[in-house]
Amino acid sequence: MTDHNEALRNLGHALFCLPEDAPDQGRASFLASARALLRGIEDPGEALKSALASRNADLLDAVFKAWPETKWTRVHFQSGAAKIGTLAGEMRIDLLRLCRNAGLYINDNIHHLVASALRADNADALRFLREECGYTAPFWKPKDIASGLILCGPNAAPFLWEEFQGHLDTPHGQAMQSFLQFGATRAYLKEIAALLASGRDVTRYFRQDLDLLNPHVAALVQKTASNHGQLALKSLESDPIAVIGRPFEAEFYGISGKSFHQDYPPKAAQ
Amino acid sequence: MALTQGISSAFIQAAHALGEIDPEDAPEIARSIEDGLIALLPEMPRSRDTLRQVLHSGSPRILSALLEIQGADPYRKIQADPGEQVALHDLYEDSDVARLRILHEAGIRVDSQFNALRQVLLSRTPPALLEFVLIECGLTDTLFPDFTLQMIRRASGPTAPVLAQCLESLTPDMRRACWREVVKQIAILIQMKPLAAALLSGEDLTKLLPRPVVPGHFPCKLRPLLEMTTTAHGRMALRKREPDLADLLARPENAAFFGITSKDLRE
Repeated sequence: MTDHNEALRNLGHALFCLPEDAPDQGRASFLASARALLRGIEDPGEALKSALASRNADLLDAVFKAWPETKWTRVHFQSGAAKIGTLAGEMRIDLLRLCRNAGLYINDNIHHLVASALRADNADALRFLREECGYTAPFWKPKDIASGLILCGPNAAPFLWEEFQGHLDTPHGQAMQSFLQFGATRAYLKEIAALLASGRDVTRYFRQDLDLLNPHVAALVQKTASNHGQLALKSLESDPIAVIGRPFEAEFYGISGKSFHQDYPPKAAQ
Repeated sequence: MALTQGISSAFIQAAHALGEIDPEDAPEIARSIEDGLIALLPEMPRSRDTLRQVLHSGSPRILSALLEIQGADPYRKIQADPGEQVALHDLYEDSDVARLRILHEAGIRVDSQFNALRQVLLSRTPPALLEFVLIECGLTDTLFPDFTLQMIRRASGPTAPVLAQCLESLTPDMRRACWREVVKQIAILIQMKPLAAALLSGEDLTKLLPRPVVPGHFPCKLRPLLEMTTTAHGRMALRKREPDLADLLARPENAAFFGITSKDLRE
């Protein structure tokens, strides 16, 4: 007698193991078989578990369509299926979107997606977070905006820039209080450069640390307090998004991010 | 390398899935999984693991496709190497003649686990497997001459014609060795069914008897029958009385052979 659950589980694993460049017919046949097996399965939890294990969006979609009235959050919790955080860590936006559309509550674990998206510089994942999950400040929420800023690549830069502006425009906001939290003298050049490129007076973020900074860097920061200074900074770095999207070891305002602390030591260390 | 590893893992999992499907219960699903497995075969390594997984899948179609796509040569070598060969016990146990035939037709050894094959043939005498091994493959040495007596005693309905055909088509030397073995054993414990089969062998049984045993050792009812095997006329007369070896072998052990039962011999 056919054991539909076991067969589906094995097919789910088979689909998971198949590499991207495996023959299409193999994948299509396994998928068709898995879909056909769904008809013999009584427990939607088992089907969900196999579908999530397969990481195959078509199979997952078929499972959700096969049991349209199911309360998937409860079923998912009870089934021991792959965790939403795992899917987020793997940046499986297609699966997360299907889960969300089927009514499965994913927001508690979706923050895992931010770190992965930043590491992979994946704009699609960030767009999904903002536009579909309502994550308006994804970089700030999970940890620290400075960490996000340091990791940020060119694809994520427009998103981070937008969020960064929002934080800058929020007086007494927690995000900016934690920015430069280890002291301006130890900050990465990229953090300082992002502030310089923001087009705002950022001297207040440095507070008493301004006196401790290397005079050259302190002079750059003080330029933000005047229109002339802003224009001078603009002539050095015209595009803030390009600044945010550059690797932290690159050059900012003519200074190398790699050897910043050696080349421009703080006053105290001079 | 990563592609092969991924495909091998997927193949194993899908083969397990196929194993969970009852082909009569869900033929389309089984067929579809088979299609998928066959599509992966060109990417599979030519190794014992591949053959093992293909055999594990239980599908003759996949086995045929493997030998067609990858060629039989690598698997011929694997099955000829005692340290590498894939065990075929499951195929023997299930009397899976379809897959054994595919291997045999591709020139791959099917008797690599000789003792296991012999054990299945002796203990369960599955007719299809018996016919395949003894007649199609001609692997008569799996049973003959050592186990001729046991096979004759165990022969019944569907196995009788196979055994009869096999016994009649043996080489003269093998035939003589078989009947010598039978006669040697029934000289110790006389049983009518194997003796009757031996009487139809066309051999002079008195010459096959082991040294100290003479025809006089046998009960008086049997002596004339044994004497008849010494002449061509006598052997023809015996054939006339029991013209069909298959029919004789199909009878149970306690039935009458040449009008004599084993019980009669004890009286």
